[in-house]
Amino acid sequence: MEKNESTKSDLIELKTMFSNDETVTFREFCCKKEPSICFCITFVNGMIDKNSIHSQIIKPIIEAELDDTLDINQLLNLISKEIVSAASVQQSSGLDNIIPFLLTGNTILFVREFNKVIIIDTSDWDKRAITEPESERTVTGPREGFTENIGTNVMLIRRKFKTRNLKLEFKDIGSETKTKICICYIEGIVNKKILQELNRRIEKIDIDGILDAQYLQELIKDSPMSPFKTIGYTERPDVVAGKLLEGRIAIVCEGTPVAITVPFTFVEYFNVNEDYYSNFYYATINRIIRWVGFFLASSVPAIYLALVTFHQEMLPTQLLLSISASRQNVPFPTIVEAILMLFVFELLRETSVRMPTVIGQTISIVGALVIGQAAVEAELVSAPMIIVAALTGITSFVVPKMQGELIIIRLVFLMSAAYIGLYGYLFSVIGMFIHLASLRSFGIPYMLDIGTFKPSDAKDIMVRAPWQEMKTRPKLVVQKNRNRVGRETKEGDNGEK
Amino acid sequence: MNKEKISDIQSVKLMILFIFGSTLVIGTGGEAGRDAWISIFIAVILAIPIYLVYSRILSLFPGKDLFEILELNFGKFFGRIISLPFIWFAFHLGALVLRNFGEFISTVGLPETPKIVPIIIFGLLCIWGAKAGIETLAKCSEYFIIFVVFLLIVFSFLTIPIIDTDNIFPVLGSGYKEIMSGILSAFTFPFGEVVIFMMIFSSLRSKSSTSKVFISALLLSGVTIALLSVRNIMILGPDTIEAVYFPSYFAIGRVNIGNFLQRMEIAVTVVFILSGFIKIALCLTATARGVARVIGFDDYKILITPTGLLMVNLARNIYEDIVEMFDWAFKVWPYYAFPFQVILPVLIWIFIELKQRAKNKANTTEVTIDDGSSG
Amino acid sequence: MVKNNKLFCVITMLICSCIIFTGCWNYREVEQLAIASGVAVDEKSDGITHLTIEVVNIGRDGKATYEPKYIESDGYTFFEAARKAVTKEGKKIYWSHAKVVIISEEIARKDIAKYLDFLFRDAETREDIWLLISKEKTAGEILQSKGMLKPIVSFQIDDAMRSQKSITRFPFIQLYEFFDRLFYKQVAPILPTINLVEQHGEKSTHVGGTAIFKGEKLIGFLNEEDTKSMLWLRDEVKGGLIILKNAAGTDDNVTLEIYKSKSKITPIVQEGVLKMKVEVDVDVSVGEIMGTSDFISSPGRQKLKAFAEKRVEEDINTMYTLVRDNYNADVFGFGRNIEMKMPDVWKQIKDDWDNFYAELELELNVKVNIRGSATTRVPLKAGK
Repeated sequence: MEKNESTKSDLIELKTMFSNDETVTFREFCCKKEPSICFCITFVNGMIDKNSIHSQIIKPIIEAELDDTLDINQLLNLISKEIVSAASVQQSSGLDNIIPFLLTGNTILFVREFNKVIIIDTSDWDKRAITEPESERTVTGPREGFTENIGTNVMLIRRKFKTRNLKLEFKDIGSETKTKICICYIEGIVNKKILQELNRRIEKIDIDGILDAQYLQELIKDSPMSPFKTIGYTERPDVVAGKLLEGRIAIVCEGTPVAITVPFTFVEYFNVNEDYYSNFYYATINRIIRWVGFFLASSVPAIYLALVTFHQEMLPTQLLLSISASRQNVPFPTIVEAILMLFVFELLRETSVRMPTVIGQTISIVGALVIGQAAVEAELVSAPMIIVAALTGITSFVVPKMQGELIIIRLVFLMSAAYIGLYGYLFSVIGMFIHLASLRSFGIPYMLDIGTFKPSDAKDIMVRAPWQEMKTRPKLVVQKNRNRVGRETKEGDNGEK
Repeated sequence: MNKEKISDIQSVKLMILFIFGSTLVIGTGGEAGRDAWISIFIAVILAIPIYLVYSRILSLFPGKDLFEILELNFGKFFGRIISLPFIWFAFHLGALVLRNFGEFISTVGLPETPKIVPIIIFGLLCIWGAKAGIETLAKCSEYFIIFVVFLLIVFSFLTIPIIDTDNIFPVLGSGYKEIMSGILSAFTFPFGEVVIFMMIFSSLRSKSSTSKVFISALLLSGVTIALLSVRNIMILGPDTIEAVYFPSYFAIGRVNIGNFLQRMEIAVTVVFILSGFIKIALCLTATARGVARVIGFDDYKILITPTGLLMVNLARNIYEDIVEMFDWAFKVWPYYAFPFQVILPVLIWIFIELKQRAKNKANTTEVTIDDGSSG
Repeated sequence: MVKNNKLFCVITMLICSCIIFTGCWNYREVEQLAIASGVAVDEKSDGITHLTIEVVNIGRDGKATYEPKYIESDGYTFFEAARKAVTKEGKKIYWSHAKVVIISEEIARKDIAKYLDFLFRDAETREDIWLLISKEKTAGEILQSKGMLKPIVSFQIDDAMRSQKSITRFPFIQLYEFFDRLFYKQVAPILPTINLVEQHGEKSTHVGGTAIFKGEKLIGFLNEEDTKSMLWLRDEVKGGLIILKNAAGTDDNVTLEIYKSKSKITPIVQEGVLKMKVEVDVDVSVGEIMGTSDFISSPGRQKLKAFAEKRVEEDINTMYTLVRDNYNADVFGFGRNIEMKMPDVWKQIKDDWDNFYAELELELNVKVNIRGSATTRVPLKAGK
């Protein structure tokens, strides 16, 4: 039991703490029948719903028939159980416990000078509505995307699972921001080892603030120096649901319209939710196109450079002649030309991303006219190089999540091709394979062991098999409960390997 | 020290790529002329018992590599002494392949670039690969073998218009002496080189299937090499094969489909680089492991960089020029490699087997351990 | 931190070396190359090799233009002459896209291998290049003639050879096949010949006929008709025409079009004598009947067939005797055939093959199958 003064000073302390903060409002009132019982509520303006404070807290309390003889606990119980009609009410004490609630839109009810308070959820602030995600559009899939509000986001995920197996674990991270994150997984499917590893890594985080899921991503990812992602991200609840069903773990982070998923393997770059919403033949073709796009986006400049400056014998004669003709009078060596054009393309892309749409169009027109037409006519760059840069640019959007990685890969390939031709290119490809093969994401190999997996695991990589055929979850991630589609599954497929 | 584990199928793939190594480019069994493929087939059959010896030695001591087995059986001092020739063999082989690669690149691809440049770069790449560990190499090999097999199949099909089946006739026309020396050459290069795997196969997952791994890799790669040899003979004829350094490269160079698909020699280069990378990286791993064991290091990976750089040096200085390299590869190598590949392993096997038997007599409980192993 | 520094150093080193070393070694800009399309080899009187190199001169004047440019260059060796051409052209001559090598008759008669060594050895030149023997005075003038369809003569020859390979006017032999034969001593290499013909007042190239070698020396030529007969004995006839003058005793000339031909060549021992048994099986259709004779009805066809068989047989025999007796060159690969099918016999006669070949008899059996008469049933003639 604390003394009376201490509560008084709690309230006073709170007042002094926020004396210059006009958003924190204190409102004192008394019970109509028993004016000796005074109340004070405090809330942050702009985060609360004034109507509900008025109708659910102030009005009932003022009109309530309270009795002065009740001791504090009885009084609080009475108020929280019979008088206040808000949906979420809890009792608490101690400033350190109270302040986080206050700052997330709750209303704190102080009774007289007592140390115990009632916390009433009245939060209501302006939120963005659920809209279609910008970066992951689909034609036929659901149109909802995550928002900045963690409650909404968790709700969006929960709506898809109507069983108790979906587990949500909330945590606060960041010494200053106390950002709320939520770890979602499905009990019974998730690999416990991965979950433990994830929790261990999250415990280890020591940072002042998490403003975006990207902070979190970098803090918990494997091989942080690698350009490749070992953690997935998505703006779409349906994708998260899909990943959860594959046995992965999703983390939703306060203030970020993006959920991150672990573990992440290389093939996930190429799997898009749209694949699962359309005919599987079509989806398979699209996937193959994405793989080809990855190859083109990473290798076309390097291969072109190698062919034109080292291995001219490999070009058909007519092509060699045309390339040679278009390179007449061009002042730059091919390698400089290539780097220049790729740089210009990235420049255009970066500018138009940040620009309002209207100006973005202007930029693309200027880019197309000036670089496409004028530069060739002025014999500053050769036409084939423009084609190469354009092809690279377009194809790098086929795998949108990999854009950043592709820039690095492309440059490395290009440099090594400029060094010793196709041999250099091959060396860097081998290097990429070594790097990819040695990567792991939460203990899961980043690249699949193609030799050891069964055909059943291949059904969702290069091809998208129909659901009847996709009987099991990916073996690498899920250790037990591997059945996806109930019928006709053989015993052997369930076993641990 | 040895937490790395690779599966059986991965080790088969590693071994296939290892055997392909430089063989697909340089060719083997050339002494037998148009019967080279017969020599290769016979060499494959003769290699089977030797491979069984290798796998027997390994499966007697599951989870141990050759160096550990030697130490266990011959004692610390003698075991290390016997390890030395194997270490040298792995080191030397790596350097030879590296040099082959350098000669190949500078002959067919980059004549004006100093030979040392591709050798150094390739050497560094192999060091990186070996440092990444045998697991990573195994995984890489799974991907590489797809490319390799794809290229081999596609380009063998593309050569169909230019093959001349007459070239392999008459079968067995070259005389038995030539065929015999072809067998020896094909056996020591590449099949016998698999002795390297004894030094790194402590990473196998299952214990009982070592011999299966060895034999299936041998048969798959042996048949492929023999078929490719048939293909090359059919395209080039035995006389041209004798005249050129890199028969596969020449054979593919003749492909011309519709005047558009032509000069596709780079495909041969891709196969060579992918398989050569695996081969050199494995030699490097074997050497580093051996050295680490002999001087008593726990982690062999720190030895890879220095060993690799030494290997690059050896590769650079080992021959004067390409003529000497080919003379050596065809005339000296079979006799030089034979002791490492056959005589030493067989002697070790006999010794171990005798020791094991003596031990079994003394202690009957140990019998059960050996039952699972084959060979 | 240490790791980052290391990474930084490595990356800096790589970028620096890329910047410093690119441009050296094998890096060559495509516009810096003089792309050679063909070369003609002559010999000057004093044993000096004289090359005429056709280079594609690329201009860009709004639109790309390709003009031939001829560089003449002398040297004691092929290589020297080729290198010297650089000083005249100013750019490095790039051989990988060369399509044609024309060798003058004079050189071919002395020793063709001497001049081809460079082409065989050098990694840059293609192996599927066309090797042609000039029947004009010098090889250079053929290259400098005027291209009818394409400005670059070498490209035109290349196109013509590929599109006309079914006409059986010349042996379809690429450089590597020639090399293969050269390596294999028992087979006499052959090459197509090239000459100039006048068309519209301009000289243009024409490929047809065969040059016969024995070892590395040219020993004689075959005309286009004999070339076809020879190809029959090599089982290389893929198409072409059989022209029958005054067919079957009539005044009419008949043209038969070959659309399939198969020659089966086997060595046989008959009464202790080794012979080559050649069975030619040709499928033809009647392509043209210049006259009114009936060769379409069953008896008419029989007559035509018998006549055609006899004619082809005669042609082949004449040619065979000519080649065997005049040149004693085994251009048909009979020796190789014996080696393949009778290795034991071959071992005995191998060393004395030339003499043996001089006596070798043919047992020829031609079968002409008339499979059709194009689109009409009767010869074109005025109605009754």
